[in-house]
Amino acid sequence: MERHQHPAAEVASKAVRYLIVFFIIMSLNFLLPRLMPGDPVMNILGEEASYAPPEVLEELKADWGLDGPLYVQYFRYFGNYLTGDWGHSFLCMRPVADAIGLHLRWTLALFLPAIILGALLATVAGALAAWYRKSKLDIGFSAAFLSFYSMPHYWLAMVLLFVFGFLLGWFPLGKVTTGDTSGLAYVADVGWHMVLPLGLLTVSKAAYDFLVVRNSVISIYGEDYVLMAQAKGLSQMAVLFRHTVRNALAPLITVTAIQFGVILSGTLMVEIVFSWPGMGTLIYEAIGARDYPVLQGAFFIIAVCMLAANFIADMVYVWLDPRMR
Amino acid sequence: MSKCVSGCGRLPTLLFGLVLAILLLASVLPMAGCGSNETGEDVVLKVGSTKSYKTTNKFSDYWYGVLSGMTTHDSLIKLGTDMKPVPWLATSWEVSADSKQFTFTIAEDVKWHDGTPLTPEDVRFSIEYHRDKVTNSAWMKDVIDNVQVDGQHVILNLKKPYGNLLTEFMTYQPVPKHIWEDVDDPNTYEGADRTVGSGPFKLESWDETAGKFTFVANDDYFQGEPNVDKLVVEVFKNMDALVMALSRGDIDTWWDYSGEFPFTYVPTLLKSGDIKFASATFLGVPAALGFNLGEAPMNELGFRQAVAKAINYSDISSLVFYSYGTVPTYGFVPSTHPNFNESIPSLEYDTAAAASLLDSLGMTDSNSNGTREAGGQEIRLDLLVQNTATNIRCSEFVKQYLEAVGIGINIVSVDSSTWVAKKDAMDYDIVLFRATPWGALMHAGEGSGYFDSRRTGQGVLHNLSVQEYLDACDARLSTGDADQQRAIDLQIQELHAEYLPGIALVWIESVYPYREGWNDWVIDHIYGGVVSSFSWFKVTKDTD
Amino acid sequence: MSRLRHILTNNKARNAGVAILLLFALCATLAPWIAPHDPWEFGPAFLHPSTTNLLGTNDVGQDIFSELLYGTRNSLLVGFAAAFIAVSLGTVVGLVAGFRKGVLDDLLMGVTDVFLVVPMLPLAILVSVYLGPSIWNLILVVGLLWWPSTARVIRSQVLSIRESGYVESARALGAGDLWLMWRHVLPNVLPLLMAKFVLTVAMAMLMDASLSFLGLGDPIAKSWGMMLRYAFMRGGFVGGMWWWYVPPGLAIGLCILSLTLISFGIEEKSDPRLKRVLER
Repeated sequence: MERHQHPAAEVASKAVRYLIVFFIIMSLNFLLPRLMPGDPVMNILGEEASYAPPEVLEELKADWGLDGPLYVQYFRYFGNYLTGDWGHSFLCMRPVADAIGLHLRWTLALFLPAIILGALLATVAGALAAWYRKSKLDIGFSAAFLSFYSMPHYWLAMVLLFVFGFLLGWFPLGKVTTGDTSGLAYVADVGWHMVLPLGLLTVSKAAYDFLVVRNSVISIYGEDYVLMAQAKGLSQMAVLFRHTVRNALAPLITVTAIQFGVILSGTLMVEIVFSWPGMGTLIYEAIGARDYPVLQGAFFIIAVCMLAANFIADMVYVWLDPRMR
Repeated sequence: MSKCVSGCGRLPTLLFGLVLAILLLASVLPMAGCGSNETGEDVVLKVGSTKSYKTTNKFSDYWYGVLSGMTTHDSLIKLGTDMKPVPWLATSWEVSADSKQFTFTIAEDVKWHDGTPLTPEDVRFSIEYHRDKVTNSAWMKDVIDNVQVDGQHVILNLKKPYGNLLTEFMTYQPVPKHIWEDVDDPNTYEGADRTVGSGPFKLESWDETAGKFTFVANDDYFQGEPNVDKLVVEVFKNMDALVMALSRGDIDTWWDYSGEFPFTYVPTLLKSGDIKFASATFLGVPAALGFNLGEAPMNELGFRQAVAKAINYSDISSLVFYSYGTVPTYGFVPSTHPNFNESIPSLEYDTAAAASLLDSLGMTDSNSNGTREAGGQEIRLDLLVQNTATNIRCSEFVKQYLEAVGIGINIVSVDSSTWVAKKDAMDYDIVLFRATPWGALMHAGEGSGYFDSRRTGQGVLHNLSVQEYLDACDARLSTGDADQQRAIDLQIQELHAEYLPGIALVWIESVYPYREGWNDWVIDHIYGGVVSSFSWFKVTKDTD
Repeated sequence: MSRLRHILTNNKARNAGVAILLLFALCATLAPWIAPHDPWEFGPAFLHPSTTNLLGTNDVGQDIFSELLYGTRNSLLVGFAAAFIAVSLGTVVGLVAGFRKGVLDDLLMGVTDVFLVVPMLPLAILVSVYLGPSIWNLILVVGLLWWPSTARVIRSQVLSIRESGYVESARALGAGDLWLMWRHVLPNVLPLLMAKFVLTVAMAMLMDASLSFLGLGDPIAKSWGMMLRYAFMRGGFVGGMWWWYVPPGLAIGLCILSLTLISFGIEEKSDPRLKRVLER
């Protein structure tokens, strides 16, 4: 706040800092998975792993780039990433980029709609709650969203799956598709599979956003231009949605940007319950199998997305807030 | 604060609209998803599995490899229901007296799925290919010298006697030479023809996102067409989802290689009414304790015997395995094993005997804090356990029993990769492990593959290096004579009971759930369950 | 300090939060006396609720109601201990960074940036696999991973307080940094700290529940997350044994709800500018 810098200089200094952060993360990315006890090669061999001569194991390690001292592996890792080579997954038996692409697609398919629907739901509910604040409506909305926010989501997911999937049989028992369909039927099938997880994530995102919207609408409530608009004879609803909601948008965008990392990985638990083949499931399985290349790739993608989101959020903030300019 | 003047009237309308829209959306979607088309005449078997399948390359994907061994590919011989090898691709076989030459006669008129004939040359190629290129059969490098073809015969010449080769070969399947001969690294071969085998089913599709394999019957199969026209294997991420699907009727049965169907789900499925259970004695050992024999006090035989007497086996079998368990003997492997040694006594829960054994070793609780001391030090042992729910439950019982006789236990629960690393580094005092059916048969049999100190492998303890035991294993491997094999099998079990490198906690009767209307299953002991190579030709489905 | 007292009184929702939390604390303290059974004692499995077993028994015949009571201890301990570590660490970093500025500030803020960018749950899973399962390791994991957001908030508060007149004048009078922090800055950020602490407790409890569910908790300790794990892994859900899987989930939810209400109460009373959203 106290630094009165030229916007361009501000952007440049931010960029440098992000670059350093990025470097640290790349290094952690390499080091952390390797700290875990266990050897990925043993996982490749399978449960009984009928006797394999030691030299075969060594050969296998070399094939997977797990030979040589750690620092050599470290430089090789950096070199590979610079040339766009993310390595080969032990677990998925394919290039890491392919494995991540496959899972990222399903994560985004679930989360982009969840973000948008959640924000919409929150905007409507939050604005109404703020407008009629301390009314039964406000208390009802607040209580409902807060309670929802407090429940462990994986537990809610399991209860939903049990009740709507198993007992009532309305929805499938997880996964993204039944298979054997194509075209429109496939889209419908995926949509059917998405209902429960999407519903859960939408409401949980809305629960979070609801508080943001409600607070920011309350803060401008009573300000001159709102009163003026009311005086002009605009209807309550029109004033509410034309003026106040627009104001709530900036913090909403910021919050969503910051949540991005949570969205890409933090719903791991929900993905596990719904057998959803997203990034969370991939990371979880990769940790279990000590699949270093996949972990590196996944954390790399998430870090890049988070940095980008934070950077954009910072910029939006500078741009929106006159005091920051 | 009441701000509600004029806007209130519109609010319910708005909310009503929103709810209506959501309901409409929700009701449209499921209808669209239900439109699957099943033709009435085909016999379709839907199987659920919770293993992690990633690709359809049988060499790089362990679990697909196992699945393909029952469906798309044939082994030379299989383990029959009477626990003896039965002919499959090989119509007969001969073992030389010194166990160094094995001759297989290959069936005629066998075709690969692509129509090419399966020749003895394919078999010869496959054995060498496994030996030279496939990581998990690298043991063949130490054993197989050369392979020759003579008419319909394939002759293996070994570097050293290897009497257990037949058992080992039950899990390896020939692959077509014309597809694989130019593939240097089988793990990374992406060609669509990598799924071509000679088995009763052809792989039609693998939908990774849906987690679904579709196999169709091979109507040109040399043993006749299977009774099942279409086999669908659905993959679930967890047992809970699978059981719900089974109970709901989405799948007909369950299959996991060497897995035990969790008994906790049996009551639920019985209640649902449409599920029946087949059962058979599990050939492996679902839960066992192993000792780190290089450390005190586990290096004392008396201590290991005391541990064996401190455990309440019947409680474990009734409370953790819901009465599907039986009390094991000191010999480790269950009674259905070929050459089971009946003279070895059962394990017995006798805390008084355990206490006096410990006393006689000088391990007494001199400071009366409930934990005994050995050489002035409190006996606090690390019990290494994989963190699956059933394993943890077992270890809780073991902890309680051992602490009751004054042996302090610290449960070290870790994920499977850490477990393997700690186990191989001998970083434990006692370890909870399991033996798979095939694992109990491998090496010199009778569980020796888990204990012989010269072995390596993910689930293997390699903790016993007593010369007498190792010699017995070598002797068993170097004989092809059935009588001699039997004598040594009995001896290996006796030696196990004598040195006690591990204790089976329970033997179980495995249960295999299936949907009512399916009949005449044949249980395969190695692959585990009603879903087996034998069932394909026997199983029938009621027509309704 | 009168301001602090003002903060701590007079808010219905927050009072409800405090009441719920106190109830849980009471359960935790009195667990050995009020639990009808030893929750580690094995017995007949899958009993339905009855007068002897209020919530029935689990897969190895342990009394679920007693497990639930003992689980309170674990959850509260993990929550408060982890939050204590996280908030203390965050406060020190935030104070130092805000006060010192310059290289130290850049360094500390750089580290918090790294933490804010790395996805928390996967990182926590990774670190707990490395450390091994025990309550104390879990506390350490959450404590050491959850301080950056506190550090950030405290730092920005320190920066704005620094610029205010009275700190400047005190400095002009020759006041030392430590004394300034103690006398002027800390009291000003205290309400914020309390709110942050309470929220971190909630976060730690949720993390504990998640990690325990994944099997990374102490296998012998009774915790709500562990109870849910067994209910899921050993047939409780499919078997429709709601008395097994509903109570632990509700307990976690109620605890977190009470903490959230308390934090709102603190924030609302302290400074309208601080009315910010929860940072997850």
